[in-house]
Amino acid sequence: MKHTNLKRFIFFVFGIIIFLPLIVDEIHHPQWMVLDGAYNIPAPPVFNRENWMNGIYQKDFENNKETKFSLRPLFVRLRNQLYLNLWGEVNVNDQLMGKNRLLFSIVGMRRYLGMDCLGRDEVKKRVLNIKTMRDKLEQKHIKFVLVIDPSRQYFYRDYFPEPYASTPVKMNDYALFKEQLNENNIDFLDLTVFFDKIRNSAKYPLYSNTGFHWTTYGAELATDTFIKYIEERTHTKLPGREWQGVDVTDTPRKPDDDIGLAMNLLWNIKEPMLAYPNIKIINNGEKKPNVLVMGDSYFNNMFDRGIFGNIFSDSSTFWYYNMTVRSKFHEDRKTQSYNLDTELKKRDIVIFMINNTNFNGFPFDFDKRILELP
Amino acid sequence: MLFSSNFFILYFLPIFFLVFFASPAKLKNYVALLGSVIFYAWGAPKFIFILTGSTLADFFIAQFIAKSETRQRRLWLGLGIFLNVSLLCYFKYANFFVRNMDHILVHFKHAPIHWAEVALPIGISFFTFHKLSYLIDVYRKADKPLQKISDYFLYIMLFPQLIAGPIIRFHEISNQIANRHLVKDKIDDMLAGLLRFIIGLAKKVLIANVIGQEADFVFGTGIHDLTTINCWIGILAYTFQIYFDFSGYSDMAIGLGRMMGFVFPENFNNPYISQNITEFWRRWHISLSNWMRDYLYIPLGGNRVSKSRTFFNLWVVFLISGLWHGAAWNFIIWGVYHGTLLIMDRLFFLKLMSKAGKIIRTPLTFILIMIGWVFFRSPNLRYALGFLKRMFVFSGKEMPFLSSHLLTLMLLATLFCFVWSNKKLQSLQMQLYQPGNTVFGILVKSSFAIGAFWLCVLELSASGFNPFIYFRF
Repeated sequence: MKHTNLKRFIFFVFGIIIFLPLIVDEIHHPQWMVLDGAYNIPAPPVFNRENWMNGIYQKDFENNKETKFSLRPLFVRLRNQLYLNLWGEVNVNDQLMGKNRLLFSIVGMRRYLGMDCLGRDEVKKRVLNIKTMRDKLEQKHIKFVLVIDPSRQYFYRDYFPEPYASTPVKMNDYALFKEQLNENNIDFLDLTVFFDKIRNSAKYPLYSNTGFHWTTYGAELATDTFIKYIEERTHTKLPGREWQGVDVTDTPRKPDDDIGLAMNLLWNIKEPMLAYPNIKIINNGEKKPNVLVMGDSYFNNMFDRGIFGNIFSDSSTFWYYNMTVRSKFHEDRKTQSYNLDTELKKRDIVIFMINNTNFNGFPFDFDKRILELP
Repeated sequence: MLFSSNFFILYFLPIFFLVFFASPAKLKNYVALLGSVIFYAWGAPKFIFILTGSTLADFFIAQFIAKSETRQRRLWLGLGIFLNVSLLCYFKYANFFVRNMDHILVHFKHAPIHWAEVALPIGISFFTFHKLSYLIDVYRKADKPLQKISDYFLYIMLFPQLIAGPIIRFHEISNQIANRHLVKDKIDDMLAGLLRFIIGLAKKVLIANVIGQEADFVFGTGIHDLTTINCWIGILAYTFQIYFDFSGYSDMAIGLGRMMGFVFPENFNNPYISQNITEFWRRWHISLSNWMRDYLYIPLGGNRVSKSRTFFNLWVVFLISGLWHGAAWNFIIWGVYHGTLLIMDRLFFLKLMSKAGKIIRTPLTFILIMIGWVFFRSPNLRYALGFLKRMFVFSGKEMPFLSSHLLTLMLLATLFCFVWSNKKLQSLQMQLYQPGNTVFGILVKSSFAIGAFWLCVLELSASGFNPFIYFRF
């Protein structure tokens, strides 16, 4: 045996390394960093005979140890950084990195490319339902407004990663919905067209590199157009909005880096200079309509920037995917706990707001609930 | 508890080895046994009683075999084999048998059998073979039965090999178990074992798991959506996955055993460089092949009978080997496929191929092996046949997208599988498993091992952590 002492020393070093997480756990229990994104934290194990015999206790115990040890966030961030630098891999559900380090939703790209298209018959059926629903709302003297939001897939199609970059575009839900909405004379605002128009003239990015939705700047531009459209459709004057300059920074503010945060890196991906408008509301006694917005997460930005209260009535509500209700006055609640008939009686306008790669489940049975009403 | 989990690596392993190395030599077997019982009871609490009960029965049956005369010996052996094979058949094959019976009954318009699915005890295929090896070796007087019941339990339950082998025939390890008090912890063994464990862990975590995702994707695709190129990429990925996964696991077992002072037999010897199927079975899952040869093929008559009987024996051995791997028709067909190829080797193929060079023989054998894996990986026989058809009908020209990560690993896997066909490099391979004799060698290997270990821990920490941006989309 040669170099026994060196081997002993190395074995000892290995021992320390293997024991390190255990030791750190003992001396510093709270995790060193925090992991971002939405994920489930395992419940603590419950020891009883049944759980032990079925292996539930053991599984929960292992899960707890594996997810809660102090060094884990550091390990995850190190690994994610390494994989990003080596392979351009992103460890976030449903996300791929495209050209210029732009992130894309896989589902979004597939829907843009028409890979999971609903088909004309299905879209026709859904649009007819929306039309019947609109007519029923109008009988109740409630205006109906439909807004289509632009997703980054439409804006940055040329930056798709492979294999989607080289996949030809087929007929997709967006095109079919537009076709059927036009055929059925259902008025709608397509913000995709608006974004296309300002693609080259917008002073600041309409999408960030590491955000899922439009930027705050993009959302504010869209809000102006959206308000104008509502004024036209309802023949009313809403409170005005005056842009009082923008804060420009390369440090993204929430939610413009929502994917970036969920990537859990050691060093965030660099963003271009992003703009955060300062908006002043000018209210000369205009009536703020009471609205019910039903739609997807693209409206979150408007909701968080105070559209309820500033432009629409305080007591307006946002029915997120027709599953949870967001309001200025309470925490999110399940829609099932609401009586829709009573809710509608309070409203002046029902707004559907959906992004153009999210038609798959649209309108999330909200139309059916209205059609079931007396 | 998987070897390739942070819970095992960062909690179970350090605590176990701390106690193990701190224990005096005469207590080491008991510590190893205690660790093994905890290991099994933790993962399969319901089955620990079946394992311990049947192991206890075997211990006494082996004592009776050793003490009895010819006819009685045979009776005791028969009882022991019956007991163990019955348990294996019940737990592993009863569901399969009932499902097939149901097909027949329904076909003839009878009501199916009411049957609650039987859960499979972890590692039953491996520990049953260990137990049979013990009984048969004692019967054959290849070795004396172990005197201490704890030693026998250790042979069966030793946690590094309990779940996935290698299958250690009793006579290969009996001395090591019985004379443990003479064994001292040697730093060379401890370090070599640790290096081997890390090599195995890296094979499993950094290569097999990643490449396996591609295989899972392809084999999760409907037959009609598969193109020929997709099929070949999928089966190539699986061919690498199964090798790096299984041999990685064996490396981990051998390494852990070595750290505890045991020398387990090698289980893989670069199987994909084989130049024919006969050679492949000398290089793939060696411990199973040896077991089958010693306890099944030779008792059936082996090569000492007529040619046709020898072929029949080979065929039966591989049919059983297929069934041992899994209770489904595709495993049986996989076994029959390899049995048939071995018969063909003996009939004419070896002679025919001897005229071709290594450059033809190795790729051809590799393709034959890949075809076999189609049966092994497919969810059922119908899918396997459809997959094979797709592999050879040449449909679809589109090149599927492969990430640079996957491509790099596929290239590395190819390199690690085939580079050893060069004899000079082959001798280097075994040196990789040793800590080395020069300061430079020791430091380089250890640095690589530490790096690989951390990469594995990072990978295990992040795998399965694939957050959503928001919960509700």
